[in-house]
Amino acid sequence: MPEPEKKIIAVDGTETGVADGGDAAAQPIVFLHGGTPGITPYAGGTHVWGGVPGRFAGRHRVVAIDLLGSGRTGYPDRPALIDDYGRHALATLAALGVEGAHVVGHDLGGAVAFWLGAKGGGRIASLTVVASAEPTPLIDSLEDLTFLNPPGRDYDYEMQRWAYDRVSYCDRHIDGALMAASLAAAAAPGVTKARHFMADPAALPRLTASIGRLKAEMWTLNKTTGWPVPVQYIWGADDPPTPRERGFKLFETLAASQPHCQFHLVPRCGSFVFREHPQHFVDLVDAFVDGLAETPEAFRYP
Amino acid sequence: MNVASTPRMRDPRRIDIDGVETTYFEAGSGETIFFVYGGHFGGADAGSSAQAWDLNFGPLSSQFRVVALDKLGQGRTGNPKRDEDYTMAAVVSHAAGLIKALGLRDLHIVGHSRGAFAATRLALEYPELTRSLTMVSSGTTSPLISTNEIRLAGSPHPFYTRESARFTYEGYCHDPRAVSEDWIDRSMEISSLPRVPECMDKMYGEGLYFRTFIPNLARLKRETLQWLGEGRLQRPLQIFWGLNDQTADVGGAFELHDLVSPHQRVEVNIFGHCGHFPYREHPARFNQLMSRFVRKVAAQAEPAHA
Repeated sequence: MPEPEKKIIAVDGTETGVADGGDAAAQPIVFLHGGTPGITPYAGGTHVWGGVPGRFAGRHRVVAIDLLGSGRTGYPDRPALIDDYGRHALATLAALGVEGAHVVGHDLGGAVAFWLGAKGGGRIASLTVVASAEPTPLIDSLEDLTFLNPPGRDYDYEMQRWAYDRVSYCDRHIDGALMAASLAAAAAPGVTKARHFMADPAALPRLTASIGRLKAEMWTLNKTTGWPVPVQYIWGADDPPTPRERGFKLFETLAASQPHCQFHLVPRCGSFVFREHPQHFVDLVDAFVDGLAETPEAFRYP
Repeated sequence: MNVASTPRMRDPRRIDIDGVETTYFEAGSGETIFFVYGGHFGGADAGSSAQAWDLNFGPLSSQFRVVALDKLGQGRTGNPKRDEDYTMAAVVSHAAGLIKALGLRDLHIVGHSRGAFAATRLALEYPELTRSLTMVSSGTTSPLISTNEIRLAGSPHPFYTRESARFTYEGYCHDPRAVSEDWIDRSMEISSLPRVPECMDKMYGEGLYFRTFIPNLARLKRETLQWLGEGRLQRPLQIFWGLNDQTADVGGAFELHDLVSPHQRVEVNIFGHCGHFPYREHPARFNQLMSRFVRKVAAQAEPAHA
């Protein structure tokens, strides 16, 4: 089966970097990376997944998307809100003809995954949310000091390596390929544009507010028609900026209305579960996707 | 596989273990999974037996050798020979006796509830037989308090009836639809054996439950938690739990994780919409995680499995 191939497509006029491969006829798995463009001191994109998407190429269609302002993807002419990220990801899936996907989202990509779960209708089969603080209940949580004072400047090697290390249990996964791709991404036009707009101090609170509105919608669905898609949460046991209590509370909340929810704690692991423990990560995604497929109707409690 | 009719575990085998006629099941080949179900002799669920694993045994036997026993004084295994053997320690010795008699080693031991406590003791006392440990929903093993007696109190039905068995299992499970008629059938087959009232009479009539069983378990639990906290469990550990378990709070999963994780890897898997029986309430997803854990641990032992 072909390894995911990197290419650039136009999505509603926005240049969009994607990696697309695997078995085109099989059920798709979609990867949404993390990092808040212009805020997080590393330049995210499809490259942060490393070899993990390719591990699914034998049994699935595999699609990884550069979100707005990351990798090779452009950015709007104003600070992007979560709805912009969500609409762009949904339009990208539509452009690629992806239906019924299992969506894997890390960090901000986890919030985009929940946006797709809430509004994506039949395009989404399940969510796997990895170390993602944004969609968790955060009211009265502590100030996040993870990236308070980055060293280096302008997304140089020192700054980005430091950022990856800050959210890792062990720095062994921060290899030359990750750093080279992150340095290249930092110079891309979309990323530069995101940095320009997010430099406005009012921009981040607006993004946070938009995620707050998404969460209000999630909690409302939970209390009314029910959270619509299965979700599993994968958390590193040693993820200082995203403590397990946040993920567990989100799991507990949506499990009230969604019968297919799992929460996993991965030992000796920070935020980048798929880089620090790729085999464990692949096992958890495979087990969830295959387990859902094997669950007989009689066990599908409404 | 369907809730209404699950394939029964077939061909029970019989073996004498220290004078106790012992029943066990065995199927498949490859890495060996050894299942220890929950409950204890004379407990609320007098009908529990190795058949508790019937949703897992068959599916996992296609990749692994699977072995499940009826514990001492339960299922179709005989009652303890002596009053002083109405203990968890004797249950563990009996299970170890079976493992040795069958020549099993490199076991992936999977225990549920009280059976997870026995499984943990096996892994601690017999590391030479153990390759990994899986604890499922074990209030007995966790530092927290179990609430079975509170949750299961007030059954309006007489002992040993289908209605009382259903009342018990529905109290354990999050969704009553997980309690199949097959499950009740198998429970009734066991609780109607003549061995059961004899055992109940020993435990409650003669008072061995509070005089012998509970004090022994309390002492063993103190020792077990101390050993786990010291890092004596030197094998990979994974923990399963149901979010909605009303008999063993899900916080126990994190307590056990925090106790053992300073010393070694501990994986935690928690299911939503799930009470005390994750392997019966969500069998397909449980089996998927179980088989991948065993394959991963096996690959760490022998690269040929990778």
